[in-house]
Amino acid sequence: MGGAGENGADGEAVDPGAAALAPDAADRLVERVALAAALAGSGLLLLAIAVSAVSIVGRSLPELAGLLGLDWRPHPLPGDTEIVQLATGVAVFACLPYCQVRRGHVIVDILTRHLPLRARSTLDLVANLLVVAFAAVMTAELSVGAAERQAYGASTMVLRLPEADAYRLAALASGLLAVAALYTCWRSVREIRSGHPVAVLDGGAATEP
Amino acid sequence: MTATDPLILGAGGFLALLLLLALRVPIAVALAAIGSFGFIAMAGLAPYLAFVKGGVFEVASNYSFSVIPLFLLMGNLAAGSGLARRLFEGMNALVGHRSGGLAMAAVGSCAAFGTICGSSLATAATMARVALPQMRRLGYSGALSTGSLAAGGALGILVPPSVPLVVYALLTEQNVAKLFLAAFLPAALAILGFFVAIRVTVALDPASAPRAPRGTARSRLAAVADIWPVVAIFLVVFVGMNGDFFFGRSLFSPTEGAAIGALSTGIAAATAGRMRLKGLIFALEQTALQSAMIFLILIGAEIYNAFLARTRLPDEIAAVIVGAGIAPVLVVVAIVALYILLGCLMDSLSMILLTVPVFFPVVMGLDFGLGREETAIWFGILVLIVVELGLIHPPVGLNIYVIQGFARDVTMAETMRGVVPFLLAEFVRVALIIAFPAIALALIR
Repeated sequence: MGGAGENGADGEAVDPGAAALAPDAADRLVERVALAAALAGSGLLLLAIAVSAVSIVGRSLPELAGLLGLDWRPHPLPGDTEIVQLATGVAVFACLPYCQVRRGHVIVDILTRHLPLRARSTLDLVANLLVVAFAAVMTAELSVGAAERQAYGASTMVLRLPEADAYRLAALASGLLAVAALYTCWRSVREIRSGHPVAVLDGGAATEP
Repeated sequence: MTATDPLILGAGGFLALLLLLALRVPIAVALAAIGSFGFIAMAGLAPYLAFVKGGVFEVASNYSFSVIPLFLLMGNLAAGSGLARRLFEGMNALVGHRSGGLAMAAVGSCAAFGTICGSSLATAATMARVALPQMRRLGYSGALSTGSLAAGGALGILVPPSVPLVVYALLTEQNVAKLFLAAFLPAALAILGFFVAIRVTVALDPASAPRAPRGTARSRLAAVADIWPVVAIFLVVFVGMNGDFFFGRSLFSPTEGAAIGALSTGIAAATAGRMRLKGLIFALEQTALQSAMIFLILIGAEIYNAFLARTRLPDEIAAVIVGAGIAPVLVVVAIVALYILLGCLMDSLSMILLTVPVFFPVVMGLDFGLGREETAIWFGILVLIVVELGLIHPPVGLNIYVIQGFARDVTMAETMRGVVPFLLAEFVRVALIIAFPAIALALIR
């Protein structure tokens, strides 16, 4: 059970006539690497959840103890919001390449869904090139941001977590997005050449919230 | 530069954005591309790069935005938890034996599922898996079965938690918890409206909904009692987040509420629903896809809206409309009509990100006899309802397609016909909330 994605809810028209090309070894490799990054990213969300839970329990303990007539004041976990912020920040970037590979972005396809595959793939190629460009800008700027934060030792207020590390990880993930987007450009070219869609691992796409 | 240049640039940028969208460029990418070009054209390359350097990670690591991936994870855990079946059985035990009861149970369990899942599509898909086979088996018409589920699923984003509402809150600097609280009565009104729509449909065509047998009192009570995990999760998250409403002080932030919600939904999924590692990984994978999709749009919108604000186009539009002396209610009606049209093209989140920066200053400049915060919250609820309508009206109507994916024996035409009574109920609700803002504001006053 799960999201709506696997049911073709993305509104993407599939040419019933054109059989999808099976993914080759390179397709699989890119998809696996992107999936690994995405799972590592969403794993960071589990960390954020654990930290928040410990923090909430920690700060309500004195009150609960008070209800029992005890005077017990354990140290609450300080700076939990900082961990949550940096973890979700890095997590989001780590998820981007997988979304790109899985054609997970929201598109308005009402005007183009009935075009032949070659025409659609040509338009997709343009969009994928735009992603390459934007991901390259993000990678470069996040790297600069990481270097700057390294230089003046920027860290969070309470826990003194080094912000440079978070920026570095985000830059790394952006770089991976650029590579993934380049790969999707190549995938579009293959679709234009062959006239057949290239299948992603298990089809489907993410859906809107 | 003359004074009109930025305005022309802003308008040209908007047209270029629409062109890119029409050409299948993902919304996030189109926003980032047009925003980048416009920003560079207005301010130069160096300030643009500086903005990207500071801005993009800032969006992803904003503590208020952290709530989004956590709510998404909660929803995906809920979808795989098996709680949907319990909810439907429980609601069925309550109202299933009445006229149109199964459809009412479907709507009710969609609303209840919406309390642990902030996504309309996931709500529609999850509940359809459970409820559709039962309705069809009992002889409910295709139109009523699919229509009630498509409409019910749309409650997923209205009933808190709701991702679009979080985004609205951040765009307009409003309190997320207050917006969630404000969404409550309008959601209840939606359920009521849907029940009326079901009753009227069944009265006009009794064959569309055969009466279901009534279970024994004991079995019905057991089925209702079985929904306790959902009730418990909802109470913890909702009461905790709205602590100041219930006992004068907030217990935790929305982000912490989402974390606790995801944790408790995960526990419920593992115990009540027997979710194992495979299910968890699937939930994480879906969360990754949805988070990436949403945050890339947020990043694109951050750049586009920075450009748009620099053109001062939103301010000018607001000044013109406010200065024209049009009755405020007419302006709101026009905005609502525009949203319903836009809903034919776009998903709800993109609509909110594209339009709220333009419409919000307009609405805030008008006098509705409400305070500033009240106006902002009322308009937010209204926007949420009308963008949600886009999910259930043709031609995009994503919920319709989701349900259709499960109902192979129901034609698209039947489903489209099936949502009509629910759409009418929704139009009545929108009119009521425009006429009586108190429906959205009563709880926060």
